[in-house]
Order: sequence, then structure tokens, then C-alpha cells
Amino acid sequence: MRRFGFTLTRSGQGPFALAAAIVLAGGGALALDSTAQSGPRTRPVAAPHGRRPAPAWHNASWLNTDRPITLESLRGRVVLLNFWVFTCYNCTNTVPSLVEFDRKYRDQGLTIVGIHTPEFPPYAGEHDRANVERALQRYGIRYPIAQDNDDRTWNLYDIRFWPSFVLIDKHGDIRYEGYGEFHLNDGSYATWEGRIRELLAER
Amino acid sequence: MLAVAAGGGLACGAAPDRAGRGARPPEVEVALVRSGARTRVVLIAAPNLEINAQVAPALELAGGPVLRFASPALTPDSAYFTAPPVAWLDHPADTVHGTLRVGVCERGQEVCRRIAIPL
Repeated sequence: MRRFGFTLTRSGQGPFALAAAIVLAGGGALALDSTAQSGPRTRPVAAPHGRRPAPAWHNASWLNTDRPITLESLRGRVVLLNFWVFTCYNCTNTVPSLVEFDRKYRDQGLTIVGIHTPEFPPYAGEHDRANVERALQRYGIRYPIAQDNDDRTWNLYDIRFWPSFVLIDKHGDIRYEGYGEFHLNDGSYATWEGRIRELLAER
Repeated sequence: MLAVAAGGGLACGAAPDRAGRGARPPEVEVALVRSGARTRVVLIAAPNLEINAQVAPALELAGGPVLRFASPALTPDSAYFTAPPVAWLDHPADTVHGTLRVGVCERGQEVCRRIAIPL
């Protein structure tokens, strides 16, 4: 079997350079080279950042709310943005924790806003409002969800992974950001809950 | 049997290579395997990645058609493929042109990202 392997090299923001290597291999070599490894990854826990103003989102399509929610309208509340998509298992695994945060802290001043950003083009069904609605019912999500079908808010917040989280204080400043699945009462859950409580306690 | 493998490093939204290396190994490879008058297109993910089965990988062929990949071999929660997902071309092919889109999740890191690879 002939096998052609291509390695793509990234150079800043410029075009990708392509270096091609042709390998002749015997046998059914459909498996990847076992030495293929990515570089080290950041642990998926929240990390504090300096305060900076949260950018205003302008999503037009919302669920679980009568009208679009603006950042300005949430001044005085703590806001947890959750970037997710219903086809992301790590995202839906985290939903029970978010539902619990909503239940415990909504009345104390927390607003969770789900930003539903599709991974794939529209043919995959992630852009379809009815599919998102079904997911909200399936997972018991009652907090507002914005459809981010054009990735605008995803890009505005420079998000890279599903699921991701941005915690905004009562003054509209970003205080914590992070990514990665977490579960009820695990370490990351406790970290996020502590930060929510910290910001809720602020004036 | 002829297999063409391509891929690597074009993860949309992927974190930069923190090790500072210029080249990265392929994250997903595409193998073309002749099968009679048809061609089997097989995706193979790097060992550190799992392919999201909840949104099937897609090969957007030049000219418009979109091939979706499938495999009956899934994790018990149906979240990821446990065998390389396959799509079929209804003609013999040694090369393929288009864009491959794959949702991948990092083993043990519990995050997902999308990869778009021009072929």
C-alpha cells in the first residue's frame, strides 16, 4: 500500500506552508504514527484575568426569553456566559452544573447566558432553532440562550474550545475565563461556584 | 489498495503549539481505499483525539456535494467513534479535493474543537 503523509506548517497569520512526504509502507498501514502527539495543553480550569470590559454581543435569535438580552441590560448582575453546542458531549455533560448554578444563584443576581455556537455549517442541523429548542427541553435548560450561528460572539470573545465560560462582574467587566467539561461538585465546579459567589458578594 | 493521507495543524480555533514547534503531526488523516468501482474514505484521528460522533464528520467536495462519515462503532454513550468513520465515493479515486470538517475532542482534557482541513 502506498501512503502519502502531509504535514502542514503554520506560520503566524500567513498562509499555511505545505511540506509533503511520501512514505512507502507495507501492510495495512491505516493507523497513524504512534509518535504523533500534540504539545502540552492548558488544564481546563478557570483562570483569573485582569479586569477588562466585556464586549457587547448582538445576537438576534434567542430562546428562553421574550426579547434579546443585552449586556447593558444585565448591569448590576453577575453574568456567566457559556459557549456550547448541543452536539458537543463535553458541553451537554456540563449542563447539569449550569442548571444547578441557575437554580441556586439566579435569585441572588446571577444570569447564565448560553451562547450556542455551531461547530459545523448549516447542513449539520446545529443552526436549526427547533433542534436547539429540543436540546433545551432534553437538558432542562431554563436560562436564556442566544443562537450564534455566524460565530460573531464566539469571535468577539476569542473563544477556542467547547465548552467555554466567561464570568462577568456587576460592572460589565470580564473577571474569569476558562474552558472544559465539569460536573456537579467536582473541583472545577467548586472553582466556578466560588468565583460566582465572590462576584455576587461584590457591590 | 491505495491510501492517501492528509491532514494536520489546521485546527480552527486550536490553541497555538505551546511547544513552539513549527511543524505539527497530522491530527486527522484521510485514507482513500479502492473498493471495486467505489472508494472508501476513512478518517483516522491522532491517538490523543477522539472524533465527535454527535455531529458526523463531513467532506465538502469541490463542486458542492457533502459526504458525511459514519461508523457503527461508538462509545457506549454514542459520543465518539471507536472505529474510524467511513464515507463512500461512488467512483474510483486516488485523490479527493474539498474541505474536511471534523469535530474532535482531546482525550482526558474534556474540551472539543473543530478542524477544517482543505484537501
